[in-house]
Amino acid sequence: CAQRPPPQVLDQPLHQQQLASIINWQLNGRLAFKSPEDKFSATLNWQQQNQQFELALTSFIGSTLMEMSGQPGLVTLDVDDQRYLDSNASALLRRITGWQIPVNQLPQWIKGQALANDMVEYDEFGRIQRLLPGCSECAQWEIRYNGFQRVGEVWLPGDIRLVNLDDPRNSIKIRVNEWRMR
Amino acid sequence: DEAAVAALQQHLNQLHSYSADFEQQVTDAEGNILQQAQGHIVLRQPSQMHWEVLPPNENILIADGQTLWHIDPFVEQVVALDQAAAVDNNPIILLTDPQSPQWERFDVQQTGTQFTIHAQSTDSPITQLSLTFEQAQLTGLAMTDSQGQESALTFSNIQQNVAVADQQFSFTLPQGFELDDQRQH
Repeated sequence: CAQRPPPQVLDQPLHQQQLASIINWQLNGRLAFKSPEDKFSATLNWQQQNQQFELALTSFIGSTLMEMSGQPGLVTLDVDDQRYLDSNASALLRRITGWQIPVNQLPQWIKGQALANDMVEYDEFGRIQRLLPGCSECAQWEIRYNGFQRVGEVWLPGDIRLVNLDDPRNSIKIRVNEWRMR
Repeated sequence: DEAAVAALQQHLNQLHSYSADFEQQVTDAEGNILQQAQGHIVLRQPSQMHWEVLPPNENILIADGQTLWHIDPFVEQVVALDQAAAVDNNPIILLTDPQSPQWERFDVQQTGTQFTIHAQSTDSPITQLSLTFEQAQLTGLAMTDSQGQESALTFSNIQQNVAVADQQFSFTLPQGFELDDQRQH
């Protein structure tokens, strides 16, 4: 379970730098997706190696729901025995499955790392609590963080919730069971 | 082949009820571990099943004979499917129905005490199911999907042909859960 929050307040800029320096990691957890058309949960497996990512959603029986891999500019999506290619991961996923998941920005957001002009609020321990994206294509997501857990020297989120402010019936919940640094 | 089908049905006929704890490991085609879980399975002839995965992957599947209920606490939702239609996604239900005509949709091969069951139809996500018996006990089960991903279950605390309470297979909608009823009425 998550450790007690840290006694002293985190130095935010330092924490954000720590998060930015973590570029080889793997996470295993659970993702829930809700939209007016679809509602499901799946085991989430995300491997990030610098810009290269591999993402797998698996049913609890053990069968593949969706696999995505690539790096910015070239992404492949495997779903329902079909393979699709595109330069934009979020757009490709939405076009093929209808699921709106900000795959392009998640490698940073999932760590609690804010991007350039994201609007951020911190909790009393200096950890990111709420983020409103600055980038144009992802403006409508509001992201909330809790359940921080200490992984080695750094605090990482255990529970991330994204709500689509354009249509709050569209939301994503990610619970991280395990962070692994590589 | 016919002999394998007969041998498998002979094994399954003896399985009036089955309950066991399981360790599940899911690996992708390259052998990376994607998921590990523990759970419990109860089977009872004809066509009743209770499959429960423990946290952090909590999920429950209940087959009551007509309907397959998938209870997902993480999204507080239950999906209801006609059991006959659900076999494609989850051939395990067939283990409790050795005489079911649905068996014709699968090819069965036998090597020693292991049976490999291939789905003939390509639209089933589970393309292969393999069952391992030791003496008359079902000790292992593995499912491979069309992406080459394998979900392997190893069973322990196995109890075969002991009385099983009816409540194991009866379903009530948990408080606050939404029902997504996909059954053809």
